[in-house]
Amino acid sequence: MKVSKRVILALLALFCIGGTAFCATFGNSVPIRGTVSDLALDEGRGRLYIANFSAGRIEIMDTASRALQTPLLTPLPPSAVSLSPDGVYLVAGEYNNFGASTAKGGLTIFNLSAGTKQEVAINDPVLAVAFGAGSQALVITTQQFLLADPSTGTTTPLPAPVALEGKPLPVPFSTFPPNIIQASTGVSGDGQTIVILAQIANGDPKNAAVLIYRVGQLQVGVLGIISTPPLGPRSVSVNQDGSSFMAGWTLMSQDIFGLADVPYANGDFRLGGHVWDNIRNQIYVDVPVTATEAPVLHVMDTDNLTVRQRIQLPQTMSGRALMSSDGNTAYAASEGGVLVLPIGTLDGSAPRVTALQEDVVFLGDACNRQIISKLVNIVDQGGGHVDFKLSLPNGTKGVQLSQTSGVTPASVRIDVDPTLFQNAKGSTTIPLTITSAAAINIPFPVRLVINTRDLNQTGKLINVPGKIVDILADPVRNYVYLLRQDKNVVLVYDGSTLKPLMCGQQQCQLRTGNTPVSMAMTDDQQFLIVGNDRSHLASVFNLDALQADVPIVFEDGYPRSIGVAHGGIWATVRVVSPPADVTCQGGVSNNPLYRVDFDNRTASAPPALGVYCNQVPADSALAGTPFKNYMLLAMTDGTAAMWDAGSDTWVVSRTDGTAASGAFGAFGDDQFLVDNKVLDPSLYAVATLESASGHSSGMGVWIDRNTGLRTTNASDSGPGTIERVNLNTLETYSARLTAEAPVLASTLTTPPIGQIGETILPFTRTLAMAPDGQSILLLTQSGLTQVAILFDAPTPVPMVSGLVNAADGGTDVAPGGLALVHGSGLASRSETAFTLPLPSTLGDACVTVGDIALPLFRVSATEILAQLPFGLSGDVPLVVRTPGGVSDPFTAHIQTFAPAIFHTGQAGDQTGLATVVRQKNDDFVDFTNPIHPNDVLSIYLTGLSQTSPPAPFGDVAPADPLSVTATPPTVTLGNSTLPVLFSGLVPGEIGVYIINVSVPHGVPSAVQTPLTVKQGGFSTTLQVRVVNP
Amino acid sequence: MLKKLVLSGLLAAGVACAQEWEVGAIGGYGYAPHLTVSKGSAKAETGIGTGGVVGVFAGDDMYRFWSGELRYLYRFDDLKLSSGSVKAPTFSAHTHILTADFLGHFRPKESRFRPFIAFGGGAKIMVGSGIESAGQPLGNFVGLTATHEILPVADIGGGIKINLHKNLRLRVEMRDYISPVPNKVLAPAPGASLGGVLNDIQGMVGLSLTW
Repeated sequence: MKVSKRVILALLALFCIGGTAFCATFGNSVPIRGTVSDLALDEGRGRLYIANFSAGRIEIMDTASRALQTPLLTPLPPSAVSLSPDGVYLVAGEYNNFGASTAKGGLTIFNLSAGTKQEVAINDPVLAVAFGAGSQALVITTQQFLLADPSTGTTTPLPAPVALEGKPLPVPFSTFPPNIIQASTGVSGDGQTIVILAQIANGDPKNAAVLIYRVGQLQVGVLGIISTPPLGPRSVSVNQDGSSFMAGWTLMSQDIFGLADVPYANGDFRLGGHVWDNIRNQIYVDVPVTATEAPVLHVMDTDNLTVRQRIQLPQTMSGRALMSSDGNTAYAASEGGVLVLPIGTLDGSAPRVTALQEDVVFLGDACNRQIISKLVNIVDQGGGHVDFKLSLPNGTKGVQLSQTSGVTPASVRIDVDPTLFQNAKGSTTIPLTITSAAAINIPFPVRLVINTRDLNQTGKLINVPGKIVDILADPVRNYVYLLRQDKNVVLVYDGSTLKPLMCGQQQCQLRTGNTPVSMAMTDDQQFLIVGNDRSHLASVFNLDALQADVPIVFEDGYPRSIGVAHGGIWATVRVVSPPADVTCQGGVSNNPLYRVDFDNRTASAPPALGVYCNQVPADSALAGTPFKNYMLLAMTDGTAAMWDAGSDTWVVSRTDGTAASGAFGAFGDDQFLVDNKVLDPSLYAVATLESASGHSSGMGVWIDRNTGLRTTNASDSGPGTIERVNLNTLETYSARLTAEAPVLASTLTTPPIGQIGETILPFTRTLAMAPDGQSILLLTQSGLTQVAILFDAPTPVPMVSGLVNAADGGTDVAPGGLALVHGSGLASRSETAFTLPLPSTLGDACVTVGDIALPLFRVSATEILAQLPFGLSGDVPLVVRTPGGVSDPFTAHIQTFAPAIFHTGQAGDQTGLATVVRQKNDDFVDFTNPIHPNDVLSIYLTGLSQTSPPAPFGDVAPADPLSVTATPPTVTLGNSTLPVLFSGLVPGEIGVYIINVSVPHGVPSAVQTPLTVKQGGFSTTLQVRVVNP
Repeated sequence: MLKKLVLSGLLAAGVACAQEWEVGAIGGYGYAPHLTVSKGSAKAETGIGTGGVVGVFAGDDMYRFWSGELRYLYRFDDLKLSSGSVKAPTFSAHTHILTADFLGHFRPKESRFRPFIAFGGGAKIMVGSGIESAGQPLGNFVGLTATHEILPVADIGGGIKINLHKNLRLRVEMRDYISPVPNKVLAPAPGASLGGVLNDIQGMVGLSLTW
């Protein structure tokens, strides 16, 4: 009997309904009757040696069958096990840390080739044993560092600068080796570096030691670490050359301590583990956020721990993990034994369901209240057919899915009824959750953004997926930098087009540390500095090269807000190791402000900030004044302080007494804004800006430096407000609603997803002047909103004076064709669309023909380029709506057909050439490029009306299948009829048709010959030159 | 005219059949004064460029002072078009020239040095072989066109023959091939006028075998 794969998947889905126990997980667990303390992989023999601590033996697992074979017995509980590089010796370290015992440790050396073993007595409990590429094993006990020669059983002591500890035995029930031994080992891919994480002997679980041993050397480097939480899980992963490694929940390099942290480690030594994949340059990390959560493997980047995938595991990893040399299989100690993870399938067949889109944006407006449909593509990254389910939050109305379950690959249509959201007048965001019974991954949800702006709202929405927490404009390079926290990157956008800047084939992205929080540019505008809340460093980027530079190290904590003024770079820091020399009123200052030594890329906390204590909460924010003469420090309790670059000291601090958040910054050297309060040079609150429009979000200074700008948010799903601030009267004016609300800290704060870091400061920078000074950029709900510099300019009532086709300017227009609307006051500003499908609102204007909103290419005060709807002909009213009002209806005469050849060709200094192209030289036909016999011509035109299959309205025509004109046109050249090779829409274009014709041999020469395209009784003619021969 | 010229050349050759024959190769360089194309008050210069010329010829010394010969020449003559500092890109072209000529010598054929004058006519085929392009600079004057056209040609010139050896002869000569303006290859734009004749002055050196 044959059962289809789809049926099986459907059955799997049914089983999954009952709970996650039946859902797919990655890999297999092999139960061990005992507890696992360490692993060693013997690829030559196809074995995995499993140190079974509580059972006192070394289990042998056949890696092919995963069956357990006859174990190797050890006289004492094995705490560690390691295989010599030549595969001959297996060395087991023993941990017999009973108080009354005289032999607390030992080694058992198994000669696997000869089948013999040798006992070596050691006085102290053995914490770790590891072979690198050398012939001797590194043995770490609580008191000694040794090199053991397995061939002789002799040991050579190494200097041991630190005493280590493990738990004394016996231990209570349900205590596991990582909690007892508290040590773990990792070896670099080249075998030259051994890294061991162990506990320093002082009884404090926060005090760990990282031991680094270079094979062949006679000493072990020791790095003492105090961490909160304790450095669990007890797992160590090392990269190929030993230059970077992960110990517990932190990623380190030999140069930089604390490259990146797993954001939400709970510090449990037993729960979790990780392994480095040197082939794919990834780390597979299982560090549970809570002790009770379902186990999840995070696939992370090796430089900043960016989470790429989340994979469901059958069991939580627990300590040691190993990777096979071919990179196809990982073996990890787990809660119940050993996990065998087929890592190689993550490159291929492992079923992983995901959506191709991060965001799906639905733009409604005053012209468009019809159902808006978009597609979301659900695929299996493994390339297979995998079940999936889609769900919306309970109670979601106005959103319909064409299917709520299915099998990949699938395109699911999402229909949004904007009338159910129109009262919001902003952007409503709804998560679309994807689940799958057969997939091993936990898909990231898709964000549905539904915008229902009204006529009186301004701004162009530019969708930027992800959690964007900061914005900076770079007028020197005409770039805009957006800080995407969930992916640990700075997105670089072109300052004019506001499109992602391309570096080769990919978008330019600057990789930060983990969980970047804020950005600042150096005083010379050559470098960008990014504070990271899960890295002990501030990332630095050379902006000319758009490349990472040497970072600034913060040994005591995590940099957050960076402020730059002349001669000074300061940083708020989440301090974890307060420097003892920074005190306040007799006590150690637990969270000081740090000053950056940019030349040496270090940071230190000065003992005092002028006459003030150096005690600054980590969620405070810094901002230099526009001319960089001063720096504002804003705190959430209403305290503000100012650094004077001229005197190089903190000159004033004042507490307003009311909690502050939202907008912060300086209008100039003498006026500052913290939340709604305008502060004078003494930081005295001289005015309070209105709060009726909502909570303050962003602020800035207009290009003339005499006007302030501010944005507010009354509701995340509603419109925002942008308004000017009169810097003389300190009052707001010219308030205007924006298309969607600017973000607030509360907007950005969302439930964390696994180990994707989230640190949102209460103060937000959400406004920047575009580098070209022509617009204002706002960080808003769906990404960016571009607001015209003269957003408050009066808008006249629109008036339509004519409608012509966009090809030759004739008055004949047809369904699906491109048309130009002429008139006055048609838009409040000139704007061009660059998103697909085309928006129906552009430059705050929208157009309807017979109540159908037109997709808009570009708008200006006098002209609008739009596509006419398919299937609509005859005399229909055309209406333009702007914030200035609604135009009188203009009667549009839409013919059935209206072929019109574009005159947009450009060659040399010639413009306005008819778009008839000779395929022979791919150039426009004109007097100097005449038509010859046997030429194939491509005629580009509009107005050919319906196609088969029907083409999307307002979106590009597909390439497969091609959209062929429903009514074939005829083409004549003089008296010759030209055979039509193809007639239809140009794939990838909107409303642009192409007719390919061949020129017969006998066409006569003439300087001017009529080339005529005729369709359904309507025609257009062009004079062309023909040369024969 | 072309037909008559060719026939008379052949006739002359036939008459000379019993006389001294000559077959040779010839090459040199050609120069063509520019043509003026005007459009309203604006003017541009066009024509064919200087370029090499190679060819073959065969003839017979029919009389003591007169001889006749047939000649084929291949002239490298890219099209040119300019106005002031504006120039159109070079447009590849070449010309095939086929003529029959009478040669009148100032010295009898036994002389080692024989100055001569030549005149005759035939046809030329101008071939524009460049890549046409829309928006060609100065296209409002002339379209440089990838086509060919056949034109009558008359030629006149003179030179000197030097008998180097009993059967080896060197000649140095200058000819002017005169034809109507090639207004298919150099197509005047609507409203532009291109008139006159095209002179193509060629200086050549030839080497021939005689018997």
